Amino acid sequence: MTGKIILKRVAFGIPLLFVVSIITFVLVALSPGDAARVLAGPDATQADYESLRQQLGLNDPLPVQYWHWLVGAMHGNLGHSIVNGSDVAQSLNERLGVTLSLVILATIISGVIGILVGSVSAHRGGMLGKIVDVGAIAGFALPHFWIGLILVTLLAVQLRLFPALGYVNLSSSPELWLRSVSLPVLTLVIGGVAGIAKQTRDAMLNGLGAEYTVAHRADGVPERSVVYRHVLRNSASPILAVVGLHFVGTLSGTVLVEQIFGLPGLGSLAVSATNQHDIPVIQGIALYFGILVVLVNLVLDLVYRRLNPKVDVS
Amino acid sequence: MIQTETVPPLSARRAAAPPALRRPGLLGRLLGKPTALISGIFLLAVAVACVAAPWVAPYSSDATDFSATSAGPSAAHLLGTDNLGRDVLSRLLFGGVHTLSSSALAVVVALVLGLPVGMAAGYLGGAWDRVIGWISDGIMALPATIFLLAVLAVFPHNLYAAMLAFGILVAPGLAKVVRSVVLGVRQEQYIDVAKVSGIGDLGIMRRHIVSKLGGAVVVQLTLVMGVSILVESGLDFLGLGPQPPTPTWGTMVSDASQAIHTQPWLLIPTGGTIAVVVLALWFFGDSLRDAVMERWMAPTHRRRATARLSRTTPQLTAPGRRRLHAGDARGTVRRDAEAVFDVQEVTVAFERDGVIQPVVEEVSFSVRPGETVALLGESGCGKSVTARAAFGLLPAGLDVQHGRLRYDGTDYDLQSDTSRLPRGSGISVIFQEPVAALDPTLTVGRILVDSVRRHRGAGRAEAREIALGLLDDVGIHDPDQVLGRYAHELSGGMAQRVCIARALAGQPKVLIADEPTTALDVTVQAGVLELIRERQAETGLAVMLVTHDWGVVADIATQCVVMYAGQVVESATVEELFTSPRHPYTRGLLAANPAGGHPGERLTALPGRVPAPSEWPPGCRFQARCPFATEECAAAAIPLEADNGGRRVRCIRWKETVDVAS
Repeated sequence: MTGKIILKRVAFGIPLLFVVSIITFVLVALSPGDAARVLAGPDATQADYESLRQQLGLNDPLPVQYWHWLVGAMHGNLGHSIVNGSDVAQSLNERLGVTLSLVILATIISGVIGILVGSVSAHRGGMLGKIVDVGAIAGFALPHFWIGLILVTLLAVQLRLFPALGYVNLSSSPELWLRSVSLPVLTLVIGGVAGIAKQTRDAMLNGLGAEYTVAHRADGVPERSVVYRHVLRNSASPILAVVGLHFVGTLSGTVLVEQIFGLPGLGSLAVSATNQHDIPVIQGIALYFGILVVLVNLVLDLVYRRLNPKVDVS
Repeated sequence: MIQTETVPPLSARRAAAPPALRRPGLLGRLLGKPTALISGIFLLAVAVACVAAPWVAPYSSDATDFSATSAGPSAAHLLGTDNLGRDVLSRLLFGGVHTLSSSALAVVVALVLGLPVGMAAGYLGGAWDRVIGWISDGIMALPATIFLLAVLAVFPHNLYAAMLAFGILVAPGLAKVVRSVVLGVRQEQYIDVAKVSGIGDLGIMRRHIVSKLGGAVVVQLTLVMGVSILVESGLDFLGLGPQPPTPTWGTMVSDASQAIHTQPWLLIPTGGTIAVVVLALWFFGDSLRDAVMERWMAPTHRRRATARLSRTTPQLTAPGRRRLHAGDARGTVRRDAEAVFDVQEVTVAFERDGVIQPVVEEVSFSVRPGETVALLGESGCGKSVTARAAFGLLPAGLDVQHGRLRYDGTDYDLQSDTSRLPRGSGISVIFQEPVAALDPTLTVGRILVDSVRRHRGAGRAEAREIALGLLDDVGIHDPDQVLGRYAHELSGGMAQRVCIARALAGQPKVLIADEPTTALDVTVQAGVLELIRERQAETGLAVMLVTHDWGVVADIATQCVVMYAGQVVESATVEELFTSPRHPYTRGLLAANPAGGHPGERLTALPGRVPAPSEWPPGCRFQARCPFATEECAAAAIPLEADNGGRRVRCIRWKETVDVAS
């Protein structure tokens, strides 16, 4: 069963990664300048430029270029940065840890809090339900980078509880690492947690009205158990779906958050690469993001499979 | 960062639909909502002020006032100044043009791509639909920002190019919404009629579908606009948009972020503007969605309601040729026994607009050990509500006004005491939809073992043995196998047997069976009834049966309680009821029973329908359908009168009319 799900996810994920890489390639083809012009510099002769084009394979037709990139990517070779010639895969791997720290922590924290608050508000309703509603609207409407800046102003500049900038490796000091990622993670969590809570609440309210819930109660199952064991488990599908979407949003969010907090992750690299027209780096990051999305969806599928046997694996 | 809001299920908004006779147009509904009005006017004002910035802004976007750098709000500078002494309000107005126009571009692109694609998917269906669905799922699974960065790497600082790309990325989300609307409309009958009458496919689309789409599309577009503004200002914030000194909302937040040590105030008007505008869009979209729903619900609500009514109002039927067999397995009833389950004067009501409307009034009946009492009547008479009130699990919105239950010598107030009821251990329930009553995420084994452990305090291994025995008792031949199955792997009849096994796990004295065979195939109905009778014979179980089916009554009931419009109208033993029904309603029901008819004779249908609680007349509630109704019947409430033998009837004319009828 598990094997089937993995196969299905991979079968869905591979075309997705192709699409990601093809889109970035097509964009390059649309580009008015090219990498050879940038690398050769403004003083280069036409001959230098031509030979550089030849060297970089830019004279080949686009599908051939794509094929070369693809073969390289299969071997872990994502090309070289146009700006400083560094190996793209290597510089991405160096920065992957930062981004993973953020997205994994943020997804787990907002998932746990969101599901908790959502199910309690489905059970108790009242004030908490209203807070979830308002929070979900605020999470949608408030710009996440703005939330981050407000947090910096309040917690880092005014109260000096956390550092405003910079990153410390987990391996060098777990405590400093935690302090350095706290505010960025908090920013990402604030943006999404209420949305997860709202989705959880809506799914649970559906479940609370279901016939099997009446049957559980009629069989004397304690109310706490009805809500937090049975209804919650039955609501897994929409809840996990929104956690997956939230993860995608968080990945996008790292681009802004890493920039605000000066973290050396994939997101801030993507911003500087954009400013420097460093296409191979952007392509590499897009690919990494794509792989992360596929992996997270796979994990969510497996979790869901454990919770609900009825999931369709065909 | 793509967030798509889909239109919530119709049911979620149904409550908002007023039963208006004259339906105002969409605009009229919208103007009637304060949220829509305020947010709409605000958005319009912002847009106009931004476009008219050269004329309305107090200063030009780069006019510096060195006498007031980094100043807070003042009369000269309503929102303060930045570190160069530039007026924040003016810059917001000038910057808004850029932010709003590039976001609007994304909206237009999404509309131009998403609308036709969604319509094609919904209308053509099949492979088209699947391919479009696959693409939209794929794109939604990707972080949009990285693509936008790739676009900006190729077209530096060209946010229009980036927002055009963003429009392409959100178009599938819009297409999905359009698709579902079109699919819904397509299934309406008039489209088929149009097809038959020879209007071309394109003509059909234009005339019928487009008109229904408007609202849903505009709702979605307000959300796309909100998300676009957030994304656009995010990219500006990163310095990927227009370069200084050109103001945009995003770059102004970025400028403010440079000054958080010296002038934190700047964050408020800059980021706050973005937040307030997006909030206004959200509220506008939300009230628009409500208005659209109301407009749709007004006609469809009625249609759906009648559809539901006709689906769940089963004909009063008797399956097969079952006849009344007096005193077969029913010999176990001990006439002299005390009632084990005694429901006393239960009234259930709901509250709407401050008015308490009863749906069940003063219903009393009792069940003795070994006895089966049938609660009988058409749909809408309050049988199921009475049953649910009796075990304290009414659906949300319905409340017990007053009523008591005496179970096995203990009194319970059904209004306040229901949590003390011995559910599962003293009083058990089986339901109309057995598959739905089993938790889809649990195996039969988990459900039964949990139930046995809860009620009998057995250990896991022992409980499993007991569960196997229970399955065997309910006539399941391979209990080992069935223990490992889930609800969706069971047939209806099998699931009902499992539900009965679960109900018996706590060794109850009372079983409440709410239409236990209605949803089952005719071929398995008899088996399930036989099973209940058998369990009853063995354990002396008291059964309270809710049914509309005379066949079921004839098969297993000993006592009958006939309900009409929330009241008991007659109660008697089954023999008495079949041989000498007293209430005209009971007689009508019996006459409408096809199994009781004879070949060649017309079936007497009961004309009319059960009145809704709000239509209950002050006098006899059956008067409108009663052939014997007189003025006296309409004058005052009719009392329920009992004779010496304990038979009850709620009719002032039953004696004369029985004579006339016989």
